[in-house]
Amino acid sequence: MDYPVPLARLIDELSKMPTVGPKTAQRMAFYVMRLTTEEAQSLADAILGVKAGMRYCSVCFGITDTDPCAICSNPARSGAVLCVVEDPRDVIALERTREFRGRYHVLGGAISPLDGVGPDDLKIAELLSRVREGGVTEVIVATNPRVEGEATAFYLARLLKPLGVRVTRIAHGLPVGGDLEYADEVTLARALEGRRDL
Amino acid sequence: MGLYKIEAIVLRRRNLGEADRLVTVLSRSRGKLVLVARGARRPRSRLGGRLEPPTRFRALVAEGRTLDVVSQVEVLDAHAVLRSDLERMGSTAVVLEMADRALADRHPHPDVYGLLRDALALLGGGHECAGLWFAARLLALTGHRPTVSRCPACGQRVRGAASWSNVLGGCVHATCSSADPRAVPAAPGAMALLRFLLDAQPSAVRRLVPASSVRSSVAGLLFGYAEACWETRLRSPAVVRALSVV
Ligand SMILES: [Zn+2]
Ligand SMILES: [Zn+2]
Repeated sequence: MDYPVPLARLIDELSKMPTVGPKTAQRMAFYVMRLTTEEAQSLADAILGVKAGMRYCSVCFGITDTDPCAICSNPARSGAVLCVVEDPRDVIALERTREFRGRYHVLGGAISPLDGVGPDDLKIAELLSRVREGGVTEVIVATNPRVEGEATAFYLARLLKPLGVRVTRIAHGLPVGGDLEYADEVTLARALEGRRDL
Repeated sequence: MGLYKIEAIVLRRRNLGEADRLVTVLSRSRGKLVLVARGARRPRSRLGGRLEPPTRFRALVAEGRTLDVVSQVEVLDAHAVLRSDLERMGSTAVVLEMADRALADRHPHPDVYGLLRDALALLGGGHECAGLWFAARLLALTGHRPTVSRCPACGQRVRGAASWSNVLGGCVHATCSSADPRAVPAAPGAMALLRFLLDAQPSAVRRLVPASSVRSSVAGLLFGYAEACWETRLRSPAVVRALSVV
């Protein structure tokens, strides 16, 4: 038996979401059906609110509800150090460390020849013009430690170094609290490579 | 549902669900396979680092209802040198993409596996013609060997300046190329290199040092020909070109 049209429509919309399969979409739709009108309204408002209120920062391309974002417009944060990440979610992850006091630049992905993603598909030209404007002394490349992130890091280093800024790469190594014997050999090799004097 | 062991090379991977990865590999005895690596994106996973392209590995695979699941991955060669600079990363990406596009799932191709192994070793050694050699040999081994000495239109030998036609099957006399309006001129130097690459052993590729103009014209011909044969567009060559313009 087919679902009545309004329910089928909701299931259809929900199943477009990442990681949501048809079974999960059905469960979610039935959950929505059992909500009070106020609760359903609040959920719908939240969805529309994200669409109306969230945008990309015109300076760093992170997600924000004000433009420029709270980080870019905070005078207490140093504009001399830029941390380059692939995704807006990486900014949130790094902010949770409470260690970094500089600003960010979100590329919107990483160079991936196999997926046809090249430098022009990323916010690389915008990064270069931020650095050219002056005031930046160090660019920390915090792209993901996988092939695409490494390729992006090499490419950025090649473009940025001639501009006279220090270009650094975040360290790769073992998870804190882990055991050496459980690490994979590739991570271990990288950890050895990135060793420091004590 | 059973278990099987593979020796394979990672061609590409993409995300699946919250924390898993779909990994496309070329295995020695079972051909191209798409496998699930459960939890590979979690930072503490031991799978993620071991299944980066172009790692060569041994593993145990469990047959699943729709997709087979890879486990107990043992790295045979992480090919760290191929990830150590932008040029090698680019050439490696082109080689991996061609292997992926040329092969259908689950058709054993031990000769292509051997070819890929040799090509990665040559790329690691910084040999400039490794990628072109791989492309030429891959086409030959998968039944798309282009003609390089006898004109497919008239059957006579081709000498000196000629044309190249993807539809006619390779190198043709300039005068015979009228059947294909998209035929392009093929320089004698490019034809000579291509003729050599189609049957070369890896040891011979190591000694090749052609002019970069010859290399890039052979690359243009081979990639175009491969795209015509496989009815697809290669994505990586354009990205690699964009990366080299700095
Ligand atoms: Zn911002
Ligand atoms: Zn002819």
